Amino acid sequence: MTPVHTEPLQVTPPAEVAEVHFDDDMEKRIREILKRYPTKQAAVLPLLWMCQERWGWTSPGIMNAVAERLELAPAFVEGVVTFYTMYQTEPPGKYLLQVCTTLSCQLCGTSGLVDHLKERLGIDFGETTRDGRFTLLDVQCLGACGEAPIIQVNNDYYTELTPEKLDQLLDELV
Amino acid sequence: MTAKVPITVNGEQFEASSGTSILELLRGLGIHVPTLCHDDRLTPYGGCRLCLVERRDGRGGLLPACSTPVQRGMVIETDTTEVIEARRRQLQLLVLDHRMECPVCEKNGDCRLQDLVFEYGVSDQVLPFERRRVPLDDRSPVIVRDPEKCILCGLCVRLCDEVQGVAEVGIVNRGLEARVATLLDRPLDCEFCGQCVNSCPVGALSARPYHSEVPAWLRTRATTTCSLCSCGCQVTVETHDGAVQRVTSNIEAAPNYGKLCAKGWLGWDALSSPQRLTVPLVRRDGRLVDATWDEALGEVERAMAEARASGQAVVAVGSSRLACEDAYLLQRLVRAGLASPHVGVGPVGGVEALVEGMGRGLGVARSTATFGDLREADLVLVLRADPTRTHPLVKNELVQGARQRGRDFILVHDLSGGLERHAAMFLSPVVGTEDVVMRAVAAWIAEHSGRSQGDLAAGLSDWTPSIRAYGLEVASRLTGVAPEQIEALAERLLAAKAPMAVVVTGLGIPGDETQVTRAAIELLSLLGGGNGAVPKVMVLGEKANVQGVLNVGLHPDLLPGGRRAGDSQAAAALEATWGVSAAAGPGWSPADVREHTAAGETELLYLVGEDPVGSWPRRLGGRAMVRGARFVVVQGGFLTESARMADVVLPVAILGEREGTVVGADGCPRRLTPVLQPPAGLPQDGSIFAELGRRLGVELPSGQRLVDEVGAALADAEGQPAVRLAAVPPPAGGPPPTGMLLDASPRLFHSGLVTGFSPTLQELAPTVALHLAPSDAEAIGVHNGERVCVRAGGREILLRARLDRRVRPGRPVAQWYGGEDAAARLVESSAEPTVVEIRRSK
Repeated sequence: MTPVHTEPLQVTPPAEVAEVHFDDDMEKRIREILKRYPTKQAAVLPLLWMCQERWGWTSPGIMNAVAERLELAPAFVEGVVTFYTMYQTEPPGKYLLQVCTTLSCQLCGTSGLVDHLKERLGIDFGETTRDGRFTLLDVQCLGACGEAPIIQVNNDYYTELTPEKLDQLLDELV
Repeated sequence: MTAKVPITVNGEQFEASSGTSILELLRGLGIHVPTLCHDDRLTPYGGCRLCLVERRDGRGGLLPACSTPVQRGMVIETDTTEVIEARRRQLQLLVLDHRMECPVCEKNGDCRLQDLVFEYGVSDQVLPFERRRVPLDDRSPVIVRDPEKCILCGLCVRLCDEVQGVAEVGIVNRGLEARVATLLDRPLDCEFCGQCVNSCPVGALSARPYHSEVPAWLRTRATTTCSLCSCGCQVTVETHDGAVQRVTSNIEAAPNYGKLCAKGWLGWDALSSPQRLTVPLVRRDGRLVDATWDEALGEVERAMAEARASGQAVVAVGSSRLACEDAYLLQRLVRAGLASPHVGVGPVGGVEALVEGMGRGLGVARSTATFGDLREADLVLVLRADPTRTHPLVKNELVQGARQRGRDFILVHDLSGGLERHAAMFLSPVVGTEDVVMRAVAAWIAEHSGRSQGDLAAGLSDWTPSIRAYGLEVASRLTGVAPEQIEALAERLLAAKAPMAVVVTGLGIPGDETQVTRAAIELLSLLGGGNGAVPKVMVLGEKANVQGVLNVGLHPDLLPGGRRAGDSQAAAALEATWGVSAAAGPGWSPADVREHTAAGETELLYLVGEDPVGSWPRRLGGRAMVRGARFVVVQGGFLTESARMADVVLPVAILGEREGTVVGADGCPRRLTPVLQPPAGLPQDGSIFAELGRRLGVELPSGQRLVDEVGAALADAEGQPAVRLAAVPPPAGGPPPTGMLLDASPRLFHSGLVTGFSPTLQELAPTVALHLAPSDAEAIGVHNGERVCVRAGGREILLRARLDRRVRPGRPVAQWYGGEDAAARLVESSAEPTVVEIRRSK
């Protein structure tokens, strides 16, 4: 397992992202993003991603703001957000545990890890621990099969995991 | 010309235009290819996988015909065992996740999935899947969504986006979780155009007002022209036992190709409104009482005979919704039978733009652009208002042009609409100064581009010096539009290859439609560069037959065939055709009619489908006019306020009960076909004129002769348009009005004379609602649903606040027509904006 230090997500509470505005810095980035694409619609994914990095998740208010900025219908933006699994439509915990459940990881023992995680955290996939520390998600291939089984925590990979290594990791993630 | 490529289909050689899809080719060859997600009006989707065909050359395999373009040398088979089996498997999968309740489904007998399952013989084989459980969404007043029947063809989603430009619904989630949903599953809050319901191939979408227990195969279908605006849409009305069961539209019928709007789809329940008049009324001892037709017509006959004998004025004000035949008979009855030249229509939008705008500017009182031009134009100027609210088909064309074909349109108006998101530019000049913007653009182009209308344009020497007064600075001050924006608009127009203009009209749209029309002609003829090309300007008349009634002479200055009244040759020709002498001189202008009638100089006032008391702007003095006439006859479908003041009220057939010809905003004549019998055998307007003619001994044409005379008038009115310039009035205007401006232009409705009686439309767009931008509501301190008092000019109306994000701040929207609390009560003049005070009512 590669030693990394994962920073907790900065998750903005729902009330504060019910309505959002882009500050000057974000506007500057939006203009940069728009330069890369032939149409405004084409910039919807990077804009949403930028917002999720900024606010920690993708609230309805964020979808509205992105729709307005790109002159798209909000329902269209919601369709995009719900199609891709990387956009979080509920505020997640500080650590987003994304367990790869695709074939290579399964062959290397993911299901044991999953059982262990669910038991230790007391939550199922798609749920967040009561203390708001962890959110558990199952994801498709993370593209690092050579080091299976893998869990992505926020933006970092933790590879060749065992239940013991996992326990150690969870203890460190505070 | 597109290149042709050879292609083999089912062993036969064909040529196909490159760029077409395999589906288009096969359907063109008459080969049946099943589809559930395809619609010619939309970009190909490839979602249902039923159009699979087999490719035998190259890599081979099954291809979706809808989204695969033809290629040189392709070898295609359309009914191999493999193709049929693949389609059957696909249907099997669709059926698995579809709640099969065909025997009790409203779509039974009219369902494309049902047809295909029958055709392909899908079994009831059980596969190890659970059908999704998704609750019914019946929260909207009109549209009911049943997701368990949805097959995710995406037609509703794509029509709402690509054609309607609203995208109220989208597909959320993916895979087995995918479903059609509104934003955050809120109740539908859209334009209720009904395109989704009518495109749904299964029973997932239905309309509450058209809930029917009559199976599809027992309903009678007939197609007629919608008469609720001037687009001329073809609608198919399904009836049973004299009641409307459903309204749809044929995807292959011009001009709307299956498109619908809330009015045309839902307004039909006005036919069965309890306020519908079914028996004539006459005034006895000061009260209107029921009468027989003979009594009522006898009264009118007597009054007409007296007026004719005394030489006193008879005035007829007709509706521009009348069929051409009816309007022709009315003006002939009055001009020839009653020797009065005072015929005309009410102050509806489009009459002035056509007669004074197009008539003086191009020499013909008609639009010079068709819906085809609208689709071809690469840049459309949309002037005065947003057609979303007045002429939905035009809005659809603009959205499709922008969304599907990369065309541009530019909005120039200052009201709320719906098209802003799709427009290339949105200029919002001070209400009523659109003409100043157009002329400033023309002045800029004349000065900077070296273009000119050329010698072909009459009046150039007068126009050229006068337009110089429209400098950027002056125009910017009057209109509030920045000089750079005026320049940017000019640059865009100069770059356009096929620009055109759309002039939106309607009661409640402030400003001067004539000047805007003239300005658009001047500007477009300048862009044409003096090659004599006729500028393409489409005047969107308010009512169904504004164009047609003018063509047949229901106007004080126009004789049938578009000839000017007062022209001695025209008068002679008219008398030769009619075989009698006629009052062929100019009649009273609308202002004269009001003034003379209010002053008691009118013996008989004949109002046909018009309600001056209830629906005219205040300054026009409709009430004083009706009160001033000695004898008032009101003819129409409902007991309007004017009807309440009449001496005789004559009820008539309306909407789809009528037959005849109407001419759309594109100048195209279309048929009204009766799709229903009127209640109590009510006559159509024209039959009443014919009967009055018979009683008065006036010979009026009927049958084929009437058809021929009307046909000749319509053909003559075509004329030859040519640009006629004149000196333009100097730019004028005071400081822009401040405060809240009442926007009384239509919202789903026109004047409301017919649609105001539709319970469904009343529910969707209540006449008692004041739509407010949320920020305005906050400033006023009013919440959704609370009563508000709206004041202007010492008068006030009481409405209920409706918070509406689509309404622009400072531009509260209220319905024009609707009794004591209608916005028309506050509007002094349609030429000027109405500044209102709004406060919470206790």
